[in-house]
Order: sequence, then C-alpha cells, then structure tokens
Amino acid sequence: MTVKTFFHRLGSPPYFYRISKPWGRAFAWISLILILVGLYGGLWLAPPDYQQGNGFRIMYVHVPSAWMSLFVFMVIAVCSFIALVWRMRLSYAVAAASAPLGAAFTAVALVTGSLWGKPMWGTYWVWDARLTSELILFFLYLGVITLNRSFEDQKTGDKAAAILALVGAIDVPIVHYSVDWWQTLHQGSSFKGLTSEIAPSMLWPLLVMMTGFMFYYGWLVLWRTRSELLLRESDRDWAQQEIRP
Amino acid sequence: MTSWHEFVTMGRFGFYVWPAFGFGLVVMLLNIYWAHLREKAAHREVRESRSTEEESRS
Repeated sequence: MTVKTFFHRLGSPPYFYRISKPWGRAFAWISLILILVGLYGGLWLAPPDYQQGNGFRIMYVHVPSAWMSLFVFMVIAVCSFIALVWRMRLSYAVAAASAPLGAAFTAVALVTGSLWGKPMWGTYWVWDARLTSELILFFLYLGVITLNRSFEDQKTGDKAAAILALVGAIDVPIVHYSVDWWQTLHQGSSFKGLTSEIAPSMLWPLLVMMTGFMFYYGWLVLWRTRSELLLRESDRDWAQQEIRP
Repeated sequence: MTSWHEFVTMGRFGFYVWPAFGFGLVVMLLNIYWAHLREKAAHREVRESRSTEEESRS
C-alpha cells in the first residue's frame, strides 16, 4: 500500500474506526509510562532552581499543558481547513474530538501558571500579553465546542466551528511570540529552535513529560474521534455492524 | 531532593506545587471519564438508530 493510498483509506470512517483502537491502547500505555518517568524525574531527581527553588517544578505540568494548548488548536485549524476544502468527514470528527481536550490543556496551563505566578511574581494574574492571549485561546476553544453542538444539523455545526477555528488560529502565533513582541512579566521562551537554556538535568524530565502529554492527547483524540464518527454515522451499515445490540 | 520532608513541603512552595499537579491530574482523569461518557452516548445512538430502522421496516 502506498502512502497516498494509506491516507486515502484513512479518510474512510469505517477504516479509521477499525485501525484506531489498537493504536489508542498503545498510546495510552506509552503516555502512562512517560508521564510517570517524567514526574519522577521532575519532582524528585531534578535539582532545585537556584532562583525559584522547588517552585520551578510546576513547569513540569505547566509547560507541557501550554504547549499542547497551542498544538491542539493548530490540529483543529488544519483539520478544519481540510474538512472545508476537501469535505473530509473524518477531519470534522477529529476537530470536534480535539476541542474539549485542547480546552482542558489550556485550563491546566492557565491555572498552573497562576499557581506559579503567585510565589514568583507576587500575584496570581496579570493582564500581560502572554496570559491574556492564552485566556483568549481558552475562550476560542469554548466557542468551537459551543458552535459545534449548537445546531440541530451537525453539518452546519461542523462548518461554523471550522470557520471559527480557522479565524481563531491567528491567536496561536500571538500566544507563542507574545513574549518576544511585547514586554511581559511572563518569562521568555526557554526553547530557541532545537536548543534550550534549561540545564540538562532539568530539561530531560520536561521533554519526557511533553512527549507523554503528546501520547495522552493521541490516545484520547483517537478514542473521542471513534465516538464522534459513530454519532455522525449512526445509521450507516458499518456503524450498525461495529456496535452489536 | 534530599529527603521526604523536602519532597512533601517542596521547600516553601508545597502550597503551590501540589495543587498545580493535583489540578492537572484531576483534569486528565476527567478527560478520560468524559471520553468514556461520549463513547457510551455514541453506542446508545447507534442502537437507537437500529431499533428505529427495524420499527420502520416492520
């Protein structure tokens, strides 16, 4: 099977439904192992920061969540584009499945960032560019979820949510570059391309946690996409055959 | 970390570090629960669709 054929077949809901289950299980186990290793490295093995003490350890949940909040929105935007242009039903399902997960990552990033901010900056919240643009991203996620479920006709909901996701994607580079474009209380980016200013003993648990979060998202998005496909195609033969009475 | 005491108190940052990780854990577990609920709803929808189809045939 060529790569082109594989992607063509992957766009078929019944084919995706069948092959995604074992992948989801594998992703679940990989994410569990990586997150446990990352937590052990981040909470126990990594040395305290010379300025922030042990408070810096919040980074091991905050940074992966914040990174995933941007990544998932980009996934939704790309899927929305594919769905609107090529009318691929699977893309709408992936976008709908991703939105609640992205909103959850954004909520975790905002709350853990607040808990980091209080001891470091003396306040839970400031209206600086990074925090405000991340909060806007959270509202965009809520908008995508709400639009998707607000119409009796699912196709109309899918299209409305896809358009909002495409327009809202402009917020992703704003969040990312906000610390470079404006003077913010939030610290600058710790990663410059493939290099990082973080000490290796503190960096490896962060990379492991980020990879673990990625697999966690992969697991849940496959699971949720399977459900979205069933909901959208409940009267099709393949769905009836998959779910026995 | 050099001791369990330091681990639990996180220096003087335990009040912030543990709620941050706790919130993250709760949200991650809720995501799993919500995915389970969505799957149940999808299965129910397929079954209802089948019974509606069978009723219309008979």
